[in-house]
Amino acid sequence: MRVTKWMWLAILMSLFLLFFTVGCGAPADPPVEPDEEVDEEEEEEPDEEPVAEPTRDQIVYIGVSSEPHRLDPRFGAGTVAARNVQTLVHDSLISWDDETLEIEYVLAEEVNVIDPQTYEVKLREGVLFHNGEELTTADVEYTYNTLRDPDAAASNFSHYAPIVEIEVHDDYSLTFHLEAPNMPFLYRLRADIVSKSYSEEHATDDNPYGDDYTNMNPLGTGPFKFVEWRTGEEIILEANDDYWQGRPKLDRVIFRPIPDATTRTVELQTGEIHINEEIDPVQVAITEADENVVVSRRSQMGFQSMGIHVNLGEPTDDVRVRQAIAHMMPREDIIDYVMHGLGEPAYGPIPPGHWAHEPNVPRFEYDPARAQELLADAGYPDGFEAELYVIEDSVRVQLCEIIQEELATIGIDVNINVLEGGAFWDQMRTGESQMFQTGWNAVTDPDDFMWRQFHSNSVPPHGANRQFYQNPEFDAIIEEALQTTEQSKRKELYSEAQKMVVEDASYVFIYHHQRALGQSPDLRDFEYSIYFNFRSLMDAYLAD
Amino acid sequence: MFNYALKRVLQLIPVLLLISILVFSLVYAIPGDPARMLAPPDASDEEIDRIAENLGLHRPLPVQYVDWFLGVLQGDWGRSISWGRPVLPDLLRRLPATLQLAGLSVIFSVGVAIPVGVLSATRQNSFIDSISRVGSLLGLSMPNFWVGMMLILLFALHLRWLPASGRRGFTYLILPAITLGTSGMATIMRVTRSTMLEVIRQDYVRTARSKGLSERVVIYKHTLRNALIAVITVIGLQMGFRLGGTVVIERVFAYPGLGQLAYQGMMHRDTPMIMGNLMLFATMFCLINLAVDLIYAFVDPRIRYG
Repeated sequence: MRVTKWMWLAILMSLFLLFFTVGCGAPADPPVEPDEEVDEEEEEEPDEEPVAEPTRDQIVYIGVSSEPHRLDPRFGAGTVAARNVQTLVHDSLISWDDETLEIEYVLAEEVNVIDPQTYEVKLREGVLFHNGEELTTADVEYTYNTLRDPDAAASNFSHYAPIVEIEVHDDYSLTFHLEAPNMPFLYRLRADIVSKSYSEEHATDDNPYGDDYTNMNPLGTGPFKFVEWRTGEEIILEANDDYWQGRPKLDRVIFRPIPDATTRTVELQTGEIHINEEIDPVQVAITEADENVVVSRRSQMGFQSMGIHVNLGEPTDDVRVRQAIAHMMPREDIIDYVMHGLGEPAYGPIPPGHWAHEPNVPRFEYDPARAQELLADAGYPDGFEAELYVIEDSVRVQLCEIIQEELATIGIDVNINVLEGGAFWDQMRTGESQMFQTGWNAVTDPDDFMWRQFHSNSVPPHGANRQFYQNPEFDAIIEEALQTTEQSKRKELYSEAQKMVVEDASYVFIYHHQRALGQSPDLRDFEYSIYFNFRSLMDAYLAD
Repeated sequence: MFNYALKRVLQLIPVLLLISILVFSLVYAIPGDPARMLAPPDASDEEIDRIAENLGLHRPLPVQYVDWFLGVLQGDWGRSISWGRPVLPDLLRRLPATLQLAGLSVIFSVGVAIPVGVLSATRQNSFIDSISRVGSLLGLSMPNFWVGMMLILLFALHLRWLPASGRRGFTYLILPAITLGTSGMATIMRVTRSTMLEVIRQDYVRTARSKGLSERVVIYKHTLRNALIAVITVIGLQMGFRLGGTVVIERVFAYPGLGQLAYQGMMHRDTPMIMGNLMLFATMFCLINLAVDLIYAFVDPRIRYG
């Protein structure tokens, strides 16, 4: 009997060892190409002779907070993680300046807005996909047809749904026809273009867009080519030698998902990565103190706000009550203590810098005396009780607690309802939330700051007007702006609209948030973009 | 013995079935809407409903479960909601990394805990004993993500001896394995010590000593051997817990294993991904228990399985 027991143990142990060695085999896998294993140590090798061209290995490691799920830009454009890779592998028809949002041409040589519902695009000639095929209007048509196909479940479907027809004139020109005048569509021309033949090659009956394959193996016309994705470990891109704007100076860009903010900071400090995609606000000060790290801040082009229901009966249906609340908003304190300085006070929706920003909105500065006066005028000298809804998130909850404290000083007794993700959105969907904290991010066209939040037709479930702001005069202005081609005229209309929404105080604007990014001082000519992420790596290099 | 093992393996089937039903319902009971998380941030409720419908999330829960279950029977573990591709290949690709990490952490905890536990029992109330008792108390009380962070700050940032994250060689395993093994080490150490102390007072140990056996033989052959059953039970349990611990630890060390996949699945309410992960974890947990039971028979000849 004893022999059998030994035998069993031996079998069990060998099974365990087998598992273990199978596991051990993995990291020893030979790298795809030898230079991938290059470590930071080599950077410390003394330079042989000073030359104009940088001599060190031009490989940039980027520590990102999350791993993308779908790399095909038609399906994965909804997340920052996927955009990180897509904006390097692909090109879009247009792009824009990160701060002013002025349009710049990329794959498009020219965009003619014939009228606000007809957009003619002339394509740059001689642009090659990474498989050597030339980009033509067929690829553009194919990309946009996927995006607007309701069955495809593409990212940002609502942006492309207004397209009724794509008219291809020849290989290099085509026209988008929209169902209605829609000026924000100009910004929708940013969709990354994929290759038609490549996608169709991998399409199957079950997967008509081929995205099962292209999500793992994207192919575009961009400055970097996709090489390999080792899930959980790294995504490797290499320079596109035939890039139409010239070969990038960097040889490789490698994304490493490092979800923990502290670990990411340490990896940047020890030189294991060259860019830390996002520094936790708490760690900004410590990181800035490290001379091996350069910290930059980028405006997120959005705002954090508190919505106040205007149509849920007393007392918040009175504009004076809402303005009183706006006067109690301690913006600077919130930015200093909750955001650790990563923000700018917001008085209206559109951030400073944006071409449509209106600086002269009514400013509801922090003013308890004025707030008390307004409350008394409205007939609530002793305040009232109110419900505030917030999603479960430490920053947002802290923010609400500060608001609660402030409002308590003028007698408004706020009950904070902290709800977990799904429950919060279910509550928002009811359209019966007296006060709620939400925010908007990476918004482009001024209409995107207006329509979904404030237009009468955008009340749930059609949009995000969860405060039920309904003002026909305002609606008329933004409807007109939607149909106006000329930017200066649009700017005037949106200035008017901004003043109105601020005055009516259905939203109290708190701050325009910023994102802190850390990078190695050796990395030159790189600037992070809120919309195009690491795109400027196409011009960057590592200095010796 | 073979029949016993076979029976135990067959018992896995109802256990896994029950776990799968329970977990499937739990995932749906957790508030959170996978469609909302998949949608762009400015999506309207209408768009979110459309996404939910595309994913088949509008169907009644039992229908979704049966659909998933029939798929699993045919080797199709479903498509991840967030990744949009089959979950099984991803799970299998990450499995070795996690087994390796869990395995190394168990080797670390057992390797440290048993010798220290024995020492501390044989030299009860000595300096070593006090150190090990304080150490195990600390090991148990410190949350492991915090231990991980402290190790990173010390060994990766200040001393620069070891890498902080990733998996590009053996050195990358050391910090996560130690972190993962700390609390297990503490538990095993305590159990070894207390069981040893219990056994050491037994009559047969006194007999062994009085018949002139060397202290070494007394400790290792008569005491430790008899204390081992309890220790092995704890090791088995700890191995199971290690698998759960990887969910937190892999995140801290950006280690590409199953744990991170499980975490991401949970964050996205990605039912097929969560189910796949938990089925793997549950199977491994059961197999470890089976292995422990079989090892009992080897360690203690009095235990037999018919």
